[in-house]
Amino acid sequence: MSETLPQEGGVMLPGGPGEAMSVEIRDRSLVTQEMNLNIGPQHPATHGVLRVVIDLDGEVIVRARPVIGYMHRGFEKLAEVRDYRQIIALVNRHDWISAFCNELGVALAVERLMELEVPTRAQWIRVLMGEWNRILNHLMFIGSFGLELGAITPVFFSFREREDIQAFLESATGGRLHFTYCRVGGLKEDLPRGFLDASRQMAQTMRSRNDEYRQLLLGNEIFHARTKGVGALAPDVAIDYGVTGPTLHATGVAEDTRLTEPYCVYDQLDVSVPVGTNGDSYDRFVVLLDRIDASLDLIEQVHEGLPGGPVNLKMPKTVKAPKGAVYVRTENPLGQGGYYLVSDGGKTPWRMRMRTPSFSNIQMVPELLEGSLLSDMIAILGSVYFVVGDVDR
Amino acid sequence: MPTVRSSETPPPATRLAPEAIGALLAERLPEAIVATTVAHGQLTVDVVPEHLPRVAALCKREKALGMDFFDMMAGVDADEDGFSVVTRLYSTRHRHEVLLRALAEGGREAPRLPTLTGVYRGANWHEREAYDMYGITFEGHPGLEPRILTVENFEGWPLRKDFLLTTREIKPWPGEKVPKPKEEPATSDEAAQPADEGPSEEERAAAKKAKAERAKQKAAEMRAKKRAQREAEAGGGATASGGASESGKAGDGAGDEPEEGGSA
Repeated sequence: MSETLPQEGGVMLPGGPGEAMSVEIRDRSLVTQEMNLNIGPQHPATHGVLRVVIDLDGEVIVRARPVIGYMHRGFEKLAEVRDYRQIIALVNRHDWISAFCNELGVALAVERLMELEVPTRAQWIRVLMGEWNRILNHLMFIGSFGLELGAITPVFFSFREREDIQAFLESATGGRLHFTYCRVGGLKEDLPRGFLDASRQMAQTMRSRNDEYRQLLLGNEIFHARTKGVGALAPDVAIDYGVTGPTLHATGVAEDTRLTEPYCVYDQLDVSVPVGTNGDSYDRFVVLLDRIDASLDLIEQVHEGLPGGPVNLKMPKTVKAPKGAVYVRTENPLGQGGYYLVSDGGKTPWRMRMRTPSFSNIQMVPELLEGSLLSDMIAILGSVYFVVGDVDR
Repeated sequence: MPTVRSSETPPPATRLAPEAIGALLAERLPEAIVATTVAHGQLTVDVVPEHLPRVAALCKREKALGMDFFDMMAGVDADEDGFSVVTRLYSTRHRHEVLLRALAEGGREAPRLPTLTGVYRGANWHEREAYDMYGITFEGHPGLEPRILTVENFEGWPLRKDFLLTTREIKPWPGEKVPKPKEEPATSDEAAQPADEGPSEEERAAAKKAKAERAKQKAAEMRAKKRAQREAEAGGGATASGGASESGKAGDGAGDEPEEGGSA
């Protein structure tokens, strides 16, 4: 890492910040006292209330221990006393920026247990909504990552687009954040008139805007210096920990549920998954930008191929899932979401385990933090994309 | 960045059918496998608890299985049998999966299982969560304490069915339809399902009746109002009749105020 200084646009960039510094300090064989530093739970760089307890040797992180649970609200217990219709409104709250994708996972799990065949149009619209939700989520992280590295402009840009997208999603779902649009057996209702036009237009705008973000951040030398080679993750470590989503894709592993176990109509679409090579903060960020383009490709395919027909199955007022257990996984914006549903035949689940991507991703974070500099911690935490509500549930 | 397209990555030929995985596991470790079931296209293998790490290690290291991806672990309350733990393993290379289910030894008093952290690093936090939620001890785990999600001094195991959801205990369900988890004469978990602690049958019936009455009265009022209006329009200058109906209506309206609805 430290032996070659990467040359970018004629400017010498400091290579491998963490590694280079740590070697230097140890070679001088200074006797330093380890310091225990507590970061969070209230800290702007932790995206919610995550606490990280670290041991420092000089500026180098020796040990890191994430402490979670500050946002634990017992969603799994709450799900056990709610019927399936109510659970849909519950699960879009633990990860508040991937609401629709979470609703979808629960609906798919119940449908798989009941062996329902959902109308084709509903499945296409689910893909459309899921992909827009993915873009909404990624915009959030694109903006906030720049903000954490000291670039305040990107967040205004990305939130401008977020508002626009939320506005037309609201026209169909009635919600800006918590859509509650999915139902067991289909959707709440069909798309309103003019929705597809708005969606087409927004897709076009988004393409050009995505190029703007690219230029804004990737053209910045400071951004390169602070992210390249920082927090590099090895693919085998990532898989061993169960890391998924953009964080995994950045290491070069294209494990994406939409590719490997397609749900809804992803098997009829041409899904593309951008992958990185080094698995560092820079790659994680570029993968995020590329994923917006990939989602826009899918959205355009849905515009082309959206069939007519009903969007709902005729369902009884209270849905009862038959006795049994099923595990369904979906590709949520931050990684793989899993829903292990055990039913005893009643109106409420006997057990609903939510496997959330953020939980597994955060578990891996000490691997990245240990050995790197304290100042790189922000670049690492900001690029291992997680939502604390999704970690704690 | 390079991209991987779905058209370029068809399912690998090495992907095994759920039945084949079950057969392979049963053949290699007959003493460790209790049963294999395939439901909804998914394989669930019941494992002898003490052999759980061996089975997981076989799933990971056997070339044909190659399950390198630790997905999740879910504790499940198994009523009088105690607690079981379901682990999902997945192969990123072959794209097949298995759900390993192990019933913890020690019943409901002291459930315990061997740890999987020696096989998968990702098992660490999932086991800590299962301990936090169900009190299942994972033997050989590097550190189940402090509790991962609840506060350090939390008492009880929240996801056990005998742990009451207190909000439901002290505040009845506000909706009209109470989600009832179990209809049949329930087993030991009856106490854990306080959902049907909502308004009683009679209370709900009374509320319904009152609602119907209110609606009826409102309809009558509307009819009277309309009639009055029509009369007023038809009568034009006939103020006497108009005034009479007006006052009549006002009287009706007064009788209709919510307090009456409340008392009904």
